[in-house]
Amino acid sequence: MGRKQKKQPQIREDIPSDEDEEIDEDEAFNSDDERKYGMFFQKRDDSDDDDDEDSDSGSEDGSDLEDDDEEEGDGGQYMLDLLNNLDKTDNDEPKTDTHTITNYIKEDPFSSTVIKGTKLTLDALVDDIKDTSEFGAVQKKLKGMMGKSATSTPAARVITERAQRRVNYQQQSKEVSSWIEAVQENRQAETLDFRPHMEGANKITTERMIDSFVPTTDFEREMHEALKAAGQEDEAALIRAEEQAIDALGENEITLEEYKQRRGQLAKMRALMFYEEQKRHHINKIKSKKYRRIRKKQRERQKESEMEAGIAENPELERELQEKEEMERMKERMTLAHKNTSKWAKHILKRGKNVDLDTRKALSAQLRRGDDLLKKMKTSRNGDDSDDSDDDLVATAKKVLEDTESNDADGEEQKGLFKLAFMQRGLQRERERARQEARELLMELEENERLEHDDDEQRPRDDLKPEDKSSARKKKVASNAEMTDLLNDGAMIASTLQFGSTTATAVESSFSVDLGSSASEFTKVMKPSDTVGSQEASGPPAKRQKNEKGSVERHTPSHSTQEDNPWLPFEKKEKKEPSKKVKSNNVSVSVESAVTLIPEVRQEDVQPKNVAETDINKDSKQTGENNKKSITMLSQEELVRRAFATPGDAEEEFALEKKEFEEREDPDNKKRKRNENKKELTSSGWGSWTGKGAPPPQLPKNLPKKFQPPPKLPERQRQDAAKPRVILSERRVKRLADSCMIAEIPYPYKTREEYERAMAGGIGREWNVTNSFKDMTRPEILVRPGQVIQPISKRMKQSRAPAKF
Amino acid sequence: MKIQTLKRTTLDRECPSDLRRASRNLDPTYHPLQRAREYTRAVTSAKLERMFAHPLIGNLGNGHRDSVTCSSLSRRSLLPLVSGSADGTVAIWDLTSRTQVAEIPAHTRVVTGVVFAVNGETFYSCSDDGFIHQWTLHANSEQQKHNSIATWRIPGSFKSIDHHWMDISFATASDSAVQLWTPERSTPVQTYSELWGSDDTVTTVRFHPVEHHLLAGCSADRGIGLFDTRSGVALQKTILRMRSNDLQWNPMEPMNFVVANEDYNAYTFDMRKLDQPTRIYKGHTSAVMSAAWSPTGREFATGSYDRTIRIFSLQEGAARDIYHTKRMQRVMTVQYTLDHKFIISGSDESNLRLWKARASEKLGQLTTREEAAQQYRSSLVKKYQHLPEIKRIHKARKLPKVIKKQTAQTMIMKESADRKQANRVKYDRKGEHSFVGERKKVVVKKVD
Repeated sequence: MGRKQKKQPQIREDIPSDEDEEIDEDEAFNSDDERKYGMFFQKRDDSDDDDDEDSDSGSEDGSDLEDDDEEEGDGGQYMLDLLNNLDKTDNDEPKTDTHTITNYIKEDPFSSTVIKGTKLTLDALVDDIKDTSEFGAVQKKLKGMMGKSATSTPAARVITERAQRRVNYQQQSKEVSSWIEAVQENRQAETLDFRPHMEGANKITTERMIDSFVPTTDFEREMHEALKAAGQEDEAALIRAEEQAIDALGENEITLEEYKQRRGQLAKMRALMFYEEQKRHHINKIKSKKYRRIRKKQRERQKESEMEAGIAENPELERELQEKEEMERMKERMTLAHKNTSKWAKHILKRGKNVDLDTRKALSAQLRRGDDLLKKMKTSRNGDDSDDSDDDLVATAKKVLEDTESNDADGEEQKGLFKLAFMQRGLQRERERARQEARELLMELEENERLEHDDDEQRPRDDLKPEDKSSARKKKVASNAEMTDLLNDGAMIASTLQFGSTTATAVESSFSVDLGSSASEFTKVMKPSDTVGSQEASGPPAKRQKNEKGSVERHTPSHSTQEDNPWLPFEKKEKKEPSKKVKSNNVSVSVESAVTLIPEVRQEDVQPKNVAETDINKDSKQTGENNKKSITMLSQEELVRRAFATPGDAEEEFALEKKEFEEREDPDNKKRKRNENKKELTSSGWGSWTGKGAPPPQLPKNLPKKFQPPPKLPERQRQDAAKPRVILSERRVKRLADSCMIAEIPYPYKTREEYERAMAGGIGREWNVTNSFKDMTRPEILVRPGQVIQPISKRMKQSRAPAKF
Repeated sequence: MKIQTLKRTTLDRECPSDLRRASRNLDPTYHPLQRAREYTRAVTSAKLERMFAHPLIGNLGNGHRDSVTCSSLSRRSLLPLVSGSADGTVAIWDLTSRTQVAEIPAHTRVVTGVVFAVNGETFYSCSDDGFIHQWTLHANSEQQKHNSIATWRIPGSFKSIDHHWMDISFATASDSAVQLWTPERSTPVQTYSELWGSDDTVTTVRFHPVEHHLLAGCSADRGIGLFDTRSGVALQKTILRMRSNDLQWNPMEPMNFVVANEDYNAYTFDMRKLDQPTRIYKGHTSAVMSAAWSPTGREFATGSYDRTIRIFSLQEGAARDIYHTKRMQRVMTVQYTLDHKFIISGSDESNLRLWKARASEKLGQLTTREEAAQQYRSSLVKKYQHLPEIKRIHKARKLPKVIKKQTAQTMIMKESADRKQANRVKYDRKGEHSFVGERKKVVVKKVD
């Protein structure tokens, strides 16, 4: 093409364009087929005479166009253009030929110049047949040809097919590109959920199952038939059948009177109910505390009276009630329900304050009960409780004893009936008897101790008959009431008695007991033998430790009760035990110390020689106890201090250690040391020594660099600088660094910050709420087991819903 | 009368959608050792994962009597599998029981392709003997025998068959042409015989699962070609360095497909840009014979002549996992089940094997707690996978000695070639040499 353009000016010089055109046309006409010929004609019609250049430039344009189209790729239009251009390029080839020919003709001086200067037209061509008869028809045809545009030549098959492929491919690419959004979304999604979205319609419900039930097996079919026969195949049929049955009974048919009566009844009922409701509503509305109190008391009174009536009617009921109460108490103690340690209470507590009101009430009721019990215990320990506990009994016993003693002291001051001689004698006798009995009792207890049995407690109370004194002697169980009666009536050796479970005694008598001098004897004998024991006896009995053998040595000193031990949970055992013993209404009275004391007394009586020896023993025991006492006397605080005591200079030592550690770990330490060594490089010389009173020598300023004093290294702040009691190692642990650190930022992350942000925070349950834990541990693919995952569907291609803000 | 009703307050949590009360403080300042704890857990999780990795479930029945050449899974159901063997038999398998349902003496020569019809009731088999047979999945009730419903025949041999994803037509590749058939006609509906002036055999044809009219094929002249059955023209062809053995369209990404190549690599291509692959998947030490997409479109499995199956994640060039057994020979065909849980391989030693797609996954119903624990473990490993220790445990695979050696050798060769190229570039005065991207080297030329 470039060459051709170079030649063109030459052509122009020689030949006028007209001539060229003519020849061109001629050649074309001769060589090409009719269609092409026609096209030339059309071209000539369209454009003016300067066709040569036009066609050239046209082809150039065409190639440009083709390129453009390739880039744009706009389907069918492009293809047409392409085909047109193909035509043009085809035309070009013969044209170049004609050029050469024309050149040749032009240069030849002998060439024919017949058609020179004239235009060859169709008219001219058909001029010769003008006068023939068919001329008209031919002319008509030619005219028609001139008006029409000719169809283009089909390009080579290879070329057209290629073009077609290209166009198709571009079209396909475009179509496929419409999936990009869906694909991107899928790729970026952290989780692909392929589970079918269950809507209400898809859920399996009982109704649905019943509706869709079709009997399949023989049995089912048979059942169905039977039901159908009975008219009960479905619920509607069932209801219908029921209604029919009722009708058949005449239930639905009522007379007018009946109807009126029923209506009246209903109206009355309704009115009553309404009234009741109103009343209750009204009562419930009352806010007065006083009213509530009165109501409560009223209720309680009513209940009590009911209970009493019940008891009066049925004596068994009382026992039952008491037992029941006891059982409840026991249960409470066993389960510690009032302490909120039950599973239920724990559950409630775990749920926090969000529980509903009723539950909370129940819980607080329990707590209150626990508090009550606690209070009761405390008060009973203090001994000012009017309850029938054994603490109380002991207190009464003491009081009674004191009374009897005082009575003994001024026994003559009795008045009235008691002044009479026979009464006095009778009393004396009674006293004698009581003393005798007490002796017997004690002996018996001695035996009992040897036997060691404690099943007497379980003996039913019914066996006990106060009238049968001989049998009562053997029995070791006494009722509460009887005991108090007894204690009120007479005096006893209560000071030596301890209430316990292992050995028990029952004393039943309606007469007054006066131990007189024998009691004082006992106490006398006791005191030197065991001071601690007596101390104990005077102290609150609840605090006394149980001891089966009754050995005095094992008794813990009572002073331990003076101070609360913070390490022990709130005086549990000691408090529980006394109340436990009040299980039934039988009181078990332990007489351990008494039992243990009596043999001693006897020993002393029988073997007075050994007294000194035993005394020595006792002394040694006492000293040992005193030691113990002195140790345990230390306050808890003191104990703790001693246990965790540190030597006085520990802090200094630690500081020293820390300093050493710091020096060891300091990376600049070596350098610093080296620098220090460097200082010494500048040895003393001229100007180093100065005279007396002269200013100290100064280093010369213009020393070489290596002799200059080292620059001061910046002090690096250690992590534990502000923590005098901590040493934090700053050494790099290579093993850890290798396993827990990475050399470069891993792929999806771009910066260190990004990566660290991604790594910060845990994904476990410990550090997240349930929902975020679920979110963070959600698997990449969610699919129902056994579900087929189908390829992406057209729905995915649809544009997403606009984002919500 | 006052009626007490059952009631519940909105404050306590009664149904699962309610917010749960956190019984612990989530403030990170109270968890100074959180990272250390979680890291330790991650290490344990990685170890557990490897401990429980037993991917092979078992063989299918007793296998064929000759090399397994092709297989196909139903597109509707998870149960049936059909496989073709080199001795001309076609077998139907039940995947749940791993037993053979039927063995059909279908052809006289190698069965080169089997494919299920869309409805999942019938399937087609084609062979080197020039026959296509259509079979029913269920045996004829009277004779208890599988009879072919329809038969087609050409003079020559069939190399591959695939079924349309929507309608009843199917396409075959024979040594002479790519043809489109329907069961109603005895002659092909469309024939693509002259393909870009090359008469080389097309070895694989695959219908597009989404753009149903698209058809892709691999040819023996190392080419990958696209056809449009709607307009009946071929679209474009690209010629790679070596021959491709298999081609599979990504079911979730309609523009992408994977190619299993003879040059030990798998390539994914974007059909709009065939001048270079989008990614190269390396690792096999011999020709890749077959590829199968997970239905999720996020990973694919490849079976290779090196007697291993590798599972590649779409985003990573190295295999996520590699399966092998002592007795498994060259893997000729792999399938990924449509629930994305299992992989089926058919190999040269005539056996079909069922594998778990995730080696350490526990099969069967899990309790909620167990599931949560498992998910937590896998997310931990995923989170900390960049850390050296976890990476080491997580990526460690015990390989047959041969493959290990070959891999090492390949790496040495690659390094050597790179070094040489670097030297060429460095000492090249005329500027003839330059570094060429790895992906650029794959495609030799594009033909349209």
